[in-house]
Amino acid sequence: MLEALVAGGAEGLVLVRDSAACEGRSLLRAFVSAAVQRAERVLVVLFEVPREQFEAGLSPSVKQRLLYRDGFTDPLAWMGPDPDLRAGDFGELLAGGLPPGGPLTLVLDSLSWLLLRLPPPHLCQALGALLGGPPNSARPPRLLALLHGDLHPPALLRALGALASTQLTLGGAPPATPGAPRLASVLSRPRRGGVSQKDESFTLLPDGSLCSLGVPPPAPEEGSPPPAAPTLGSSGDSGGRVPPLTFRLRLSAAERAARAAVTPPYQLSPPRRSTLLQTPGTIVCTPEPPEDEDPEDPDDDLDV
Amino acid sequence: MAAVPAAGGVARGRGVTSFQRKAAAGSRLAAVAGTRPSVRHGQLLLSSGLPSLDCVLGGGVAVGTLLLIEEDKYGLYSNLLYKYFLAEGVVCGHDLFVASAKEHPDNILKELPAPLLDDTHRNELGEEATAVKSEDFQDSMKIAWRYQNLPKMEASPTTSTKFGHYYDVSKTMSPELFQSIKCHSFYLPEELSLQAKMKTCNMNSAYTRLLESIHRIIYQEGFDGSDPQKKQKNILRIGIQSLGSMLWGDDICSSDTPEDVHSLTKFLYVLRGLLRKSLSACIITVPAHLIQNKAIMERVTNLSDTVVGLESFIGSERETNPLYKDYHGLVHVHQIPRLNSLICDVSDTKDLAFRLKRKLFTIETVLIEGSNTKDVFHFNLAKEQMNIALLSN
Amino acid sequence: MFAELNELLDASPQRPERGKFTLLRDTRTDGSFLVHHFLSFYLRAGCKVCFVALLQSFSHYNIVAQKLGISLTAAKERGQLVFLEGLKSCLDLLFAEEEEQSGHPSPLQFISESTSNLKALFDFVRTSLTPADSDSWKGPVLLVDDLSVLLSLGAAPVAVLDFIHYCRVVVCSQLKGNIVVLVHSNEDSEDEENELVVNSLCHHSDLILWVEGLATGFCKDVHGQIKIIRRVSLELTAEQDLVQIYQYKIQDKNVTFFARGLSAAVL
Repeated sequence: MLEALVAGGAEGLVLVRDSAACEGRSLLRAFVSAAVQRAERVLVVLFEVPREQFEAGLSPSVKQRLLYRDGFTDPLAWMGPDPDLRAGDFGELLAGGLPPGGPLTLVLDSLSWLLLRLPPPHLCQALGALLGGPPNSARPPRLLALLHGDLHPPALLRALGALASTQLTLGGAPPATPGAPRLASVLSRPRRGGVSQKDESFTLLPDGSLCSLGVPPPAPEEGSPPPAAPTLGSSGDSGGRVPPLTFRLRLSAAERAARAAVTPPYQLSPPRRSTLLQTPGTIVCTPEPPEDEDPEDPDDDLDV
Repeated sequence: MAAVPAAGGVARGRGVTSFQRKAAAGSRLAAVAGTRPSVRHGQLLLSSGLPSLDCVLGGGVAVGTLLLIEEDKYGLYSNLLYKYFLAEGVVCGHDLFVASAKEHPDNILKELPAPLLDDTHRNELGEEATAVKSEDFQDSMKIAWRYQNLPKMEASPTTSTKFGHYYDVSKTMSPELFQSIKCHSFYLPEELSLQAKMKTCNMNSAYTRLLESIHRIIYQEGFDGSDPQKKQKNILRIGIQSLGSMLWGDDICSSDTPEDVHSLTKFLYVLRGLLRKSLSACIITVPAHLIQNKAIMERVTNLSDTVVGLESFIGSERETNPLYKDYHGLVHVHQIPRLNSLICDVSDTKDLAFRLKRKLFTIETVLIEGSNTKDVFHFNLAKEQMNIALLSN
Repeated sequence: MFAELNELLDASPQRPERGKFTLLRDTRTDGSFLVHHFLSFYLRAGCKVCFVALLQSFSHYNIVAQKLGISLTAAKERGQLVFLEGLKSCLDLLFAEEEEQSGHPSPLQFISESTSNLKALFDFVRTSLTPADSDSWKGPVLLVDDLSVLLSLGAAPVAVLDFIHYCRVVVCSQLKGNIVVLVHSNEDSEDEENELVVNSLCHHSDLILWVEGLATGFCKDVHGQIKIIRRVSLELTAEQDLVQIYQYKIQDKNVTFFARGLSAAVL
């Protein structure tokens, strides 16, 4: 489902929720690369990072096709009278300032930055005005917004989730080795109706595109060979790796059958039972030898 | 720091060497009564009035720092520490600045405990030694041997030049000891009628007035070195009682969401600036158990130098716990400052308890009944090795 | 400057990095030894340093820096170090008489005025680090000790974040310099404003040095644990952050680092 969304299936407001441990900007870049491949226009509104950092890792052909509005350099007009984009002007940008013509993908980096500085209801009204629109107008642009989940109270995150048509929450533990698959939880409410939620794992290729690995495999079984134990001082040691076990916890089918074939000792066959019952049983009691008491008290050795 | 000879020729504890640091360029400090330089960082140290607390804090309270005491539930023992600090100032000949919103400073000064000087001290200690098991006394010497100067007898009856004195809580200080001492006082109900002169900067008006008063005293009396004519340098000991309580006009004790969260922290920051640039030290007691918003206490701790919390056993279930039957409460050392150095004097043991036995207030390591110090030492050493061993997965 | 920490970070004063934001975090312990390290490191590297020291006095940093082989007074005199002593500046702001105030507004004027933004502090940083023509220093560096104090003085968390934002714009992006900031944090802290600032800064940092006191309590030979997080994911698309954990012991003039469980006391 993730690949379908990246390939153009997403519509309306798409929230990419990340945290400091699992960053989500790389997923935004994947969307951007795919949109450029489809010859769509992409407008990137930057508040949080400079342009060089946002386009790090994108191929040059993608880079030159991107349009930018720079809200990073001087959003509060501290350094000069006329910055490119002010924080307060974002509403107007959404309302009427978008470049006309053709399908547009709007990328917002990041929504969290705006939420901390503008009142959330006003911001959401501007977003809502963008997503709605009269039914016979051109298809509204797709808005991809990066949201840092660890900076806002849960109530606000839920309220924003109710506005979004798609939410991609990056989660799971950060992968131990570079290049390992990452986990995303996809919640999609397409316009035509219905809700679908799925956990998917994916990797990002070096050119920025996404490669979905489908549903993540369940946790590895015990007894499967673990990765080699790290040497001292090696990088990437995040601790918590399972040490190699010296026993197996699972039985193969043959072993299970062999175990079932053995009679347990408490289960008596009739001949054996009759033998036991017939033997006259006597109880023999031999008293134990008298206790060897030591008159000394070991506590006396303590010099307290 | 100049090489300051130990005041009064006191014999040092066995662990303290006689090494003295060379003078730094330009800073020459004449010997100030009642202080001694720290071995570790060359700062001047004052006694807090309790020799066992000095030992826990690594020698004493450094000049220019703030000692914050988190009050126990009924305020009994924190009030005692407050008075010990001021009494030590009287005995050493320092100037005092007494601030309170609750009691008039003159009443506080009348109730300061009397110091144990001359031969009465030796008799007192001798009584203690025979009354309790001799091992206890030996033990307190053993724990403290590295830092503590055992006070020796001095000839002068009034001002003493030793470091660290013992006080008798059952007697009050005689008025003749006060004669040569300059006491400045700040009693909030009297000050509120006057007009504040400095910028309020959105701070509680009581705190604003207190800061103004402290600044004025420091400047006028020359504690910040602004008066080079002054030959004899002296220390200003500032004591502020129950800061943050409702009597100071602050609502952080009464409300979970106080209106003004920043007044107390701003006050502490400005006070820190005043202390750092003058020859003074300050003790503040704060009713931390009443402050609902724990974020404020975290910020207060970060802005203070030394933070000690007292927990008394009155009314709690620990009163009947046999482990604590000889003690009246616990001492929690939350923070010790790192001054002019990367390291600080953290004491090895963290299980400290205090007791007010007869007339002496002591702070000791909690000793488990039936064990001797050798076992406790080995127990602590084993605990540390266990700490190290536990860290490797 | 601690040689072992330089090895762990793969840093050297001869080739200081450019355009990096380093976050120093401490939990249950005091992480100021890292501030002393970076101060002496960048001074030795020949960078121009603007040090916003909010918590301690100048003499404290000077005495420790002398133990590490650097003289802050000399650095100030030759113009390499611009030192803002927060305590002194705050006193000047509050207690100065009207006629004594100079033309420059105080960098900490947000304390006394109703404007809640830190623009004055940012202007101070910008004028200190913008290179003059006669300067020959290698790259500007901003060092802040510590940011949590600004919250205690009444600044809103968003105001602090705006200040850091603008510092990143000018120092990291435009001047290609470095920023090092110390913050306090606790896992179960109730100070939500502080947690907001710390989490937000984590998103922008290229390197996070997280110093924690031991969970098992005080130990004489191991003073704490340091987690070094290199946020490679900010730069390259397919990479993940590298996390390394070491333990340390602070001595009078040096700090030694070792792998977990291998303190010299145990071996």
